[in-house]
Amino acid sequence: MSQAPKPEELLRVSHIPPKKDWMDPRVDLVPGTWGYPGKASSLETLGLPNPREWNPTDEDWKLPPNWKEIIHEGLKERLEKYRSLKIFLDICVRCGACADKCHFFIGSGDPKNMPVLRAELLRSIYRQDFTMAGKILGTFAGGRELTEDVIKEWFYYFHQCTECRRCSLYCPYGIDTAEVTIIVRELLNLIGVNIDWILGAAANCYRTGNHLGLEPHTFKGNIEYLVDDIEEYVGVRLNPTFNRKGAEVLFIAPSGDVFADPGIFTYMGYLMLFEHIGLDYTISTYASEGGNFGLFTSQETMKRLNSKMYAEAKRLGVKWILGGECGHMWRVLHQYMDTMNGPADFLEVPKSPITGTVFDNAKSTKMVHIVEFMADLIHHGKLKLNPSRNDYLRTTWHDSCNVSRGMGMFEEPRYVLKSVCNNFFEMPENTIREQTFCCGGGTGLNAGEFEYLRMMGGMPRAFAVKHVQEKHGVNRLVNVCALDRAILPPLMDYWAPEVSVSGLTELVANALVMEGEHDRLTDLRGEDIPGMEGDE
Amino acid sequence: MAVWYSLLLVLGMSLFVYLGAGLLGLQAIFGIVVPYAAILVFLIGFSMRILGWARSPVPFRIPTTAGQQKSLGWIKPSKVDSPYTTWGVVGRMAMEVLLFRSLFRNTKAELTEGKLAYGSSKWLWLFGILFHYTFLTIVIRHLRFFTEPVPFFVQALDRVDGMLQIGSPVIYQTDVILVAALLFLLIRRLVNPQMRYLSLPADYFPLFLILGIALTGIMMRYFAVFKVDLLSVKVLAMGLATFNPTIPEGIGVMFYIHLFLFSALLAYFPFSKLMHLGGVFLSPTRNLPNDSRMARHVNPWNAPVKVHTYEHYEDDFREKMIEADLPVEKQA
Amino acid sequence: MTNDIFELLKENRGMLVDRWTTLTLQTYPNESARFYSKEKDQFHNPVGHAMSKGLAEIFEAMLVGRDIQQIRPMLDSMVRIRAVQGFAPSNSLAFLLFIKKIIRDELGAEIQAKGLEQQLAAFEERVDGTLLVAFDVYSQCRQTLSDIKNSEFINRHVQLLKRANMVSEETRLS
Repeated sequence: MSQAPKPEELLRVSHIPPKKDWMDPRVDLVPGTWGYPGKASSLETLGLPNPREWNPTDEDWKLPPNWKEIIHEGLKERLEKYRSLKIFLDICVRCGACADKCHFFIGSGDPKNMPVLRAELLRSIYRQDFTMAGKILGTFAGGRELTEDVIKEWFYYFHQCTECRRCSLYCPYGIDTAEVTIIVRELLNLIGVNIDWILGAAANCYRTGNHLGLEPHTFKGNIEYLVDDIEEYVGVRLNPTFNRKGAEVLFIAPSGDVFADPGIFTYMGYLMLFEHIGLDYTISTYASEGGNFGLFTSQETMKRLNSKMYAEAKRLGVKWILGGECGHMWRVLHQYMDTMNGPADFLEVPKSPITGTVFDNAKSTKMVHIVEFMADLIHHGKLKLNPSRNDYLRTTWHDSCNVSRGMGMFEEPRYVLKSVCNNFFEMPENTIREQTFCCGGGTGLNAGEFEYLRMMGGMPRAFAVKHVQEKHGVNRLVNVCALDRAILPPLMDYWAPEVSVSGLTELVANALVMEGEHDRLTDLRGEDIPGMEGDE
Repeated sequence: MAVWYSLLLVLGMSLFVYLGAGLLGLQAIFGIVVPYAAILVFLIGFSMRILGWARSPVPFRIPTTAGQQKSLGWIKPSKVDSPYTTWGVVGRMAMEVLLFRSLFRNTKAELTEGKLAYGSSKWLWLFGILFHYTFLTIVIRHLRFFTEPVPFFVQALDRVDGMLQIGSPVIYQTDVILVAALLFLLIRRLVNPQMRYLSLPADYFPLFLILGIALTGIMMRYFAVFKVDLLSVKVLAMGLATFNPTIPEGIGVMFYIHLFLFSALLAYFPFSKLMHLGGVFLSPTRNLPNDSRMARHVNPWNAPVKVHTYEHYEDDFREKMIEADLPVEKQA
Repeated sequence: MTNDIFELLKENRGMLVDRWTTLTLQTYPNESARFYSKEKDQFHNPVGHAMSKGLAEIFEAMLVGRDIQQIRPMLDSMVRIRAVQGFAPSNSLAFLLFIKKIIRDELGAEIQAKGLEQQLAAFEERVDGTLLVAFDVYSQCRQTLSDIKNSEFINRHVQLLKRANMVSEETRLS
């Protein structure tokens, strides 16, 4: 028996050994901050290399014997394919402007979560193997040898980055850690190092079209179930169509909205909105996932999954595509889709059949964001709204990373939200718009086993919400991203209890005055609307 | 360790010149061969680096958007922070390169609990921009050694820089600011544990090198012991500039150290992080317009991939689809 | 000059709380400790802000001798953070005991000279009491996390579970 430690001795043993040089790649896999490995069956479905059973806590990760060569060649190939990678690896001056901008660093205090160091984890290998200075001078030039420990370190820290791009905003050269993370995850996938939550979802999307792997009949059934709920709460029976040829618009939403709480209420909102304006649209069971788990895996997987959208639009003969509320889905649609799977010359430039507005901003990609679409409808007075139904809500707006720093959609959602809800309060200026903080669980870190990491990563966002909760009595955090809708509710439960989370379209539908509706005593969640029950 | 190595390296180089040019009298090597070689390495190295970057394509249009996109006509887009025209991009790049806009972004003074607090990055921006502009001014000022007659703008700059008329010879404000800025950048790396943790020898070395260049220059100008004959220096510089090199008598060893350290900087430049000078112009998150849904961006290596086609999908699930009243292409 | 320990502590509270905060933030790696203590913006630095604010409040509360109900929310803001940062439970809470050592180091001589040891023991009992409350807060935080983990699974598949009659309003509320 050793003596009980004194408090300050205990404190000295912090969770990360302090004096260690960052070049030492050995990591402690802190429970709750890393993901379970990708299952062999998922890798086989996608035809990805090195499917096997393994465990990150094991000493032996069962890498292929020539893994070093694979990584080296893989990096070489990507340096030739991406100017971004080459430049970002070459020109960082380590000024530290990004260091304290990462939500994971702010929340966890782990120095390797400073964006500059995260990139150095790859940069040091690049220097050693690909630059003259590194080849000659080694460590002195900032080089490191590629070892299995480095692979383990990459696995750990590149799954502690949500590709939110906040660091790239502050970088004087625009170095984007998201690009580095994307490439490193591609490299890791070459040797079969990946996490199940991403790979399983990607495999499901590939096979069935959506990340939970719902087969066509189940997918349809789920939406019909939502139709029943609408009938109960609103009193109107809707008839959405599936895989219908000749519709004007193909509607694609993140599939989480079809089966996850609170996303389902957003999906109910979509259906009611389309009914309200009489849109000629159809839903596809084949292209039933807006989100793209390929973005978290590799460029190639991203393209394979994304291909379904244009293919289905072509097969069904629609004029253009409307996309639901999702974050990384829109990063892919806005910045990658046309390049990867275009040109979409079989579609027409999107034109709102209700207002006649031509969406010139999407004239090449031919895909419009539902918030852009709704803002236009409201601006033209085409929606009958009763915002007082949302009076029991005091809302604030969470700008999702991807539509903020990868698209620039700031005003449209605010316009819509203010049109359907009378109580709106902004969070502090340096936590919104382009400076917005990530929810802490994007890019596949949504898996259950990342619970502590998400609580730390989401802390800066949560504290800003808590601030407006205390100051303005905010009780609803509205956003435009399916991952947010999955990640923010538990985050709020922990940091700012009593703040609920919803998509924007849910609030629009709450306020929509539908033709033939009965007295709206409840919201779309089936919960009584305070104030409305007295009208009886 | 990284700090000491870098400092020793710069001191070592100075000692090397002192021995070579001062004691052994190898002025021709340090006054002619080294500068020419350095310029050659710089020009070739710099071009190779830029060409190397340019050789890799930009497969996707990935600007980091920092303002409202252009969407509906009645929503005011942010022309510079989320540019959608060439001029917008030019404006964004100009702000970035000339004013360090991104670095400035996080430097607002914040009112926290009634107290005004400044983020440290405000200082980083300030000293960063001071360093770059004074260094540029000093380089331009040096053109007076390489030109005859000295162009008007160089003379004007010289006068402006000595405007305060302090001391004799007149003290250049840029000399003072440059050294102050360098010391700030250096001390920041040493004092802040966060910065010390992530700094490499490659971060300290250029700071010491430029500090060495600045200090030797200052010593030559302001301290009688180290004074060199400026006319002879001009003869040497003009000789280099006109490819007619000569080594005039009477130039002190301090000048050779100054010249050697600068040569070292030139030669080191293309292989180091200093290449951010060229790289910033090529950064895809800054120099591309946010118009990827308006105009198709072409990826030169866009390769076909294996996809799960609708036909396959229907084959997989046809019976279930029929049972659920979903339309199918082929009946079972 | 005072002969009351609480007066003495009150006079020195600025220094004591500063030392306490510094020491607490030093439980993080050097590189982040500096950031946590220097960054003034509360939204860019929620950890540092919560710690410095929370410790000042707790110290004040212990001086005055507030009851548990009032101390709880002050502890909550700090313990809630420590509970997810991967510290062992003992490491998560040890920072509260730190104040004892700080007082003895900084004011020990004076306390002895004035014969205030007895009174000091009274104050230290309040520190111990606070620690006990912190245990409650800590275990409640961990319980919340585990509840969240369960409800997360249900929420993410709610529509499927409903269709399979595997979830009722009761399960969801529990």
